[in-house]
Amino acid sequence: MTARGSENAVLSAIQQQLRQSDREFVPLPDTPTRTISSDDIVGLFAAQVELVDAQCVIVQNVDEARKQVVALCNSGDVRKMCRSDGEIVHEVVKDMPTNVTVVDAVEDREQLFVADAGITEAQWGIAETGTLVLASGAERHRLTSLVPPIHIALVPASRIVATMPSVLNQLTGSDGRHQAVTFITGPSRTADIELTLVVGVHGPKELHVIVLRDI
Amino acid sequence: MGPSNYAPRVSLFVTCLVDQIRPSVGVATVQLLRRLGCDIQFNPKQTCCGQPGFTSGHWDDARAVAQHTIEVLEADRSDWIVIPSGSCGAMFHHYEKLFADDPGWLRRAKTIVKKTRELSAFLVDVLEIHDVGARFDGRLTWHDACHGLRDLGIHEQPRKLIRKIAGAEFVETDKCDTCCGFGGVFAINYPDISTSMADVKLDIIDSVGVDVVVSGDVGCLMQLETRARHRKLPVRTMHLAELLSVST
Amino acid sequence: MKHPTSETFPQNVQEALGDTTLRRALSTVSATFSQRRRDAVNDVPEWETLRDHAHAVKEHTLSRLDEYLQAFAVKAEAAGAHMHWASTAEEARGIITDLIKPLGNVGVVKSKSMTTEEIHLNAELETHGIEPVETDLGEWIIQLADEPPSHIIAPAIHKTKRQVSELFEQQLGIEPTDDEERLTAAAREHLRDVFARAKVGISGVNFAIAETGSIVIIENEGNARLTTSLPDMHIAVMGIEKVIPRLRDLDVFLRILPRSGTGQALTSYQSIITGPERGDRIGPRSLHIVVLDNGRSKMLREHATREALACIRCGACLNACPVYQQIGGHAYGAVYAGPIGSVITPQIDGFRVARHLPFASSLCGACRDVCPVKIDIPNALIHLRKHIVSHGQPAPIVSPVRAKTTFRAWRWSMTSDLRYRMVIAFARFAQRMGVTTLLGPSRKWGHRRSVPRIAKKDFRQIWASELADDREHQTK
Repeated sequence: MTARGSENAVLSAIQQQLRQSDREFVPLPDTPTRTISSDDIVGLFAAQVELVDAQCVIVQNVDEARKQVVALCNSGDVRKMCRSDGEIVHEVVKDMPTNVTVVDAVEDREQLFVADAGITEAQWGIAETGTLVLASGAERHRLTSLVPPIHIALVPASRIVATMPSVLNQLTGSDGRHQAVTFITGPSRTADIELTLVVGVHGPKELHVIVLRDI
Repeated sequence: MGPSNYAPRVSLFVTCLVDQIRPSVGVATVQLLRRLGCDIQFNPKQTCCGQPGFTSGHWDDARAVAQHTIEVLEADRSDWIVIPSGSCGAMFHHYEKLFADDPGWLRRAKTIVKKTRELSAFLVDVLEIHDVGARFDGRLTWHDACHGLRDLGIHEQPRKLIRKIAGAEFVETDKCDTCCGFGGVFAINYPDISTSMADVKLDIIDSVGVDVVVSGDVGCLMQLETRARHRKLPVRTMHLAELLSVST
Repeated sequence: MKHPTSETFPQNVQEALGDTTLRRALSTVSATFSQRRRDAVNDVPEWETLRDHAHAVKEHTLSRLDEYLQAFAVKAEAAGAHMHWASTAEEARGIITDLIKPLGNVGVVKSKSMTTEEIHLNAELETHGIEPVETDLGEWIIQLADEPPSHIIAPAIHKTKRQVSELFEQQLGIEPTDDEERLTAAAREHLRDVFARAKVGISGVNFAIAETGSIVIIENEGNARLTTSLPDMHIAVMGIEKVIPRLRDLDVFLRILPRSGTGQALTSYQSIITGPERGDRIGPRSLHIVVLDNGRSKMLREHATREALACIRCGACLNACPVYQQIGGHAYGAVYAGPIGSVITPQIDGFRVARHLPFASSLCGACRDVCPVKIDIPNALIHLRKHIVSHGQPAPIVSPVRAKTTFRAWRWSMTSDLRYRMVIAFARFAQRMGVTTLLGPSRKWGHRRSVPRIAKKDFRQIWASELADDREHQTK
């Protein structure tokens, strides 16, 4: 059976049932644009990130961000760090101390599986829920943000929005530029054994978010 | 509700369970409503609201029984119809589904439904009475019967009435709004699940140590009482009407 | 291991009720999930508005489902995805097998998908020498144990950590432990190798966006991200009802689904995937989307069942259901358990097999209260009972003929007070004489409950002899 033939079968079965149905045509409700009452969106974002078992620091610029990354590498015993191809990432990870090997892992997934950390940007931050939004058309970070046990995310303050709808609206306008858009809220987690929360199952066990105020 | 000396004419739809299993609930309802100044009609031609047929999928049979009930209640020409059961009261609302394709009966059903109230809702929402002058010396809890609670939105009314009872110590229990496992034909189709569900409730009620569990539906009371008796638990059951009819 | 089916529901129930470990686990999971849900919902003052909104979006989409599916397919294909259409589970299995088989002996990973469970995909692939590995921790545990999932959100919830430890000890050779962290770490380590080798990833779909041709996958563990990012080929299986019109309609569902399921404001990950990756991007080079009907289109005809297609698989109705709390997921003998499962399963497995399920409810309505898309599940169950009766399918417990006769007799006795009184008098007499066999209902009632007695004097007699006169006095 060809795929096309089945499409007709599936759609005509639906059409037949709908024609004979008691369907009422209700209008598609408008999606309200939501706002949140906070004059400190960045502060709220940081607070929400902390609430979902991730860490967040707010710094001024790339140099301060680099210091944070170095500190994280030292405290987390990171020897090998994979980076995405994000511009800010490049700025931040250049001149890292010699005990940390920075790998451009975009082409090399072997490296990803043995890396201690991955560093990426996020294209948006959502303050309401402390969510990072990674859009694959803007940066190659689909695996760097996922495979290593520690994920360090750099978020310019200018990319932080209040709520989800503003991101969804911008994505709608992006016309398929991003094959994969990933919303990340805290580290990977499970409660599949006796409902006990365990952080870090298949994805990163640690999520460190660094907000850069000047960008 | 008109001049104060006007006694509302109230038809009692007593329900088949009250009629046959616990007639004292019917007696209590009559005494209570008369005490509050209602003129009570009881049409002895009444039988069942039709719910067992409706919930079992035998809608033709349910329709015939519903039609009988509508005819009987129409004949009373009352201001209100009061039912000491949230479940049968909810069934009246389902008449709309039974007669969806029959405009004539649908209209008649709607007229009946409009003036029908479950007992506690009638007292609190229509008569606007919270204190019926009842007395009960003991510790009691309330079980929310599912259809009253979820189909008719009866939650505050019985609590308002109970809080005004002289001498009564009212305690809320965990899972007071969880099904007792009766469910009409369900209790007979799946007696073991049904009984396990009753046990969940009875264990909680027993642990709180109340004298009486009160509810608005004889179905639930029968379920809890017969299981409690089998387990030799000391708790008693009372219908809200029975509780409220004992005056100070 | 042979899994029970819904055809043997009454026997499954007896087994489940006898399993005290299961019942203890169930009461914990239901109570925990229900409490988490309640807390999460209480954080949202406009919760009822969200439910109405979500319901309206679904109702709108379902009433034009063909148009939205077509629009979705056009957009998805424009993004480079291959669309496949399956009217039946068999067709879907065939499509997926045909995609994987030519690749030879390759690693296949799966992220949690009820739809692939529904079509029994794993068993089919195994007959072709393909061994898909479930990667959701709970799903993987029960795959190792060869057991069906017991809960839509927490598939292995019927297993204690000790049982999981024993299972891992046997299958992976780990040291016994009662530490969830170590068990989880063992699973991560083992599945990492599986992921690294996998060439095909199979996932479900939570939402499909007509406007953009995107699919949305919601999860916590990261296994769905790995499944849909690492392998060269991604196969996504979705029911026809998963489509929603626009990307911005996703907002309301992302607000209600995690809160209703796990009690989270948002799960750890949502992936919006639009076509395969191209050029220098990282990710699967091909994306196949399989759209499955499998009985769903039949549910479109009548409002009562059409509404059930709005289900977003949050599992809240299971946790709220007092019947589910007693018997658990396995007893339903179906992929979709609990209240919503009793609506869906008859459409998928047929009424003959699943005829018991719509009757296995006290119609208490707790499910309807918690449903984030406001499906009137009791109404759908009553509707299905009517369908089963009118099609002469065997009703539960009693034979269809006996059920029909019983309700005919009931109707006969309830449509005249004379006949009613006659029947009651007979029943009262029979009960007094101890002839309970004549009273089928009381026999069924009576094993673990005392039998209610028919009153010596019923209300209408009391009315006639004692109360009616009072009225005369009162009005005089």
